[in-house]
Amino acid sequence: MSRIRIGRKLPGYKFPLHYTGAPQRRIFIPEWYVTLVKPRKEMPKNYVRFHVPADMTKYDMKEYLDKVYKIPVMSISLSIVNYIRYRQPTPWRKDQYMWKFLEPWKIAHVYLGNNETFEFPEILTKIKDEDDEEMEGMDSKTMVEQQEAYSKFAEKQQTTGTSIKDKTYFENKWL
Amino acid sequence: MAVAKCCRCMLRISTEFISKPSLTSRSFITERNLIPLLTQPPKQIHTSNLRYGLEEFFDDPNNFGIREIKSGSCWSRDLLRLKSTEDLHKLWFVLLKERNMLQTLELYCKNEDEPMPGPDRLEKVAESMSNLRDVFDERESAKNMLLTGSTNKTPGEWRKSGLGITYWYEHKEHLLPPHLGKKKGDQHAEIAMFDRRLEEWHLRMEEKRAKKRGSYYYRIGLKWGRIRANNPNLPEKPPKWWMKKFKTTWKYGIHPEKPVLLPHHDDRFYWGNRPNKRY
Repeated sequence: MSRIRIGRKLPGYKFPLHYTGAPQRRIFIPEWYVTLVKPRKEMPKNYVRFHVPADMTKYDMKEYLDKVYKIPVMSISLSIVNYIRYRQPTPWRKDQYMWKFLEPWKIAHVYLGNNETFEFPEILTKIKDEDDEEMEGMDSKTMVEQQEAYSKFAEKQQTTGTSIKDKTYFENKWL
Repeated sequence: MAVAKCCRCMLRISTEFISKPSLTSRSFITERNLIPLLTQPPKQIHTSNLRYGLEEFFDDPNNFGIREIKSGSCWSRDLLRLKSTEDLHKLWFVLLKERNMLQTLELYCKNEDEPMPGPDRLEKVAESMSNLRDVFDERESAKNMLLTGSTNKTPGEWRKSGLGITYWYEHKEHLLPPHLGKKKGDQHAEIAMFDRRLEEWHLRMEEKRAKKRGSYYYRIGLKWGRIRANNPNLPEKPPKWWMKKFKTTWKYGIHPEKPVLLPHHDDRFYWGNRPNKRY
């Protein structure tokens, strides 16, 4: 049961009591998972937004970014997203619906230091290569043209190298 | 590149050059008792390429736009047990960064309403992280067993509460030990009499149990009387081996000879006996 950690509900970490002269408190395995998020509106260039578990404070976030990612940070402010209740229709009956909850999380507004800037990259667009030029515009072509282009592409692939059928890993007496 | 990248964090780990751990470093407080008992020799030099900054929240740029990304299998516990604790500690952070990267990708794809490339990577990373935690727990409990004699992370003991229930009490931190603790001054009469009332309650419960026990053995004696009536050669007192047959533990406050019957429940579905729940 100590594995389950719901922010603000179940306790996360237990540390021994601090006394004067004690060494620094450390976490051996941080179980905080942080996601970078693209804001919908345009924000200044040194602004980064994270979705952060509800246990964390801004000092925890600062340490996390400093030590795990080594990012220079100017300021952090957290804002919480409280419980979200939403309706889901039940699969066994059309009229009925169930109430469901989303656990709360925090949004971290981080401003980078050292005059650094950040732009959210386009993850789902391909970076153009030489091989891709031949396969461009395949959707607009007819089936015959597509087959011709593919056969050319396939021939290029098979100029060198032998196929697996040529090699014999073991004697096959049955065939 | 995708396979190499995933191989880098999934299947291979390289070690960093570190200086010899000093004697003082053994004494720092962590929430886990995992510092090795013996010092280890220094490791080999690090050779893989590191990338700093916010780029680590995203995949290799060569992987942008690819629909299906291959990935290796997750770290199994057998593989993890071969590594030292320092290597495992480093692996944890590698997996943490990978998990953050995959979560950003997942959220982005959700908002753009597109399929995430390689969703099984997240499951594999989560599984390998949980396996890592298992291995840490194993090592910690083994070390605690050697040092203290029990596998508990925090010290504790079995205690009996005022109402007679035994529970596991974890030692908590107090300013003063109990024999130098609070001195009880004048109290309200009901509070001051509470302990005595509790004792009285315990005595009454014990009387009740003894009465039940007495009635039980009385009825067993009657049984012996019935047997003796048919076989007059038997002794007056029943033998001990015969009495031991009726020895029971008192479970759930029920007399051992009381028959337990569940309420009548008909499983049949016809003639109006339908289940109460609607599915």
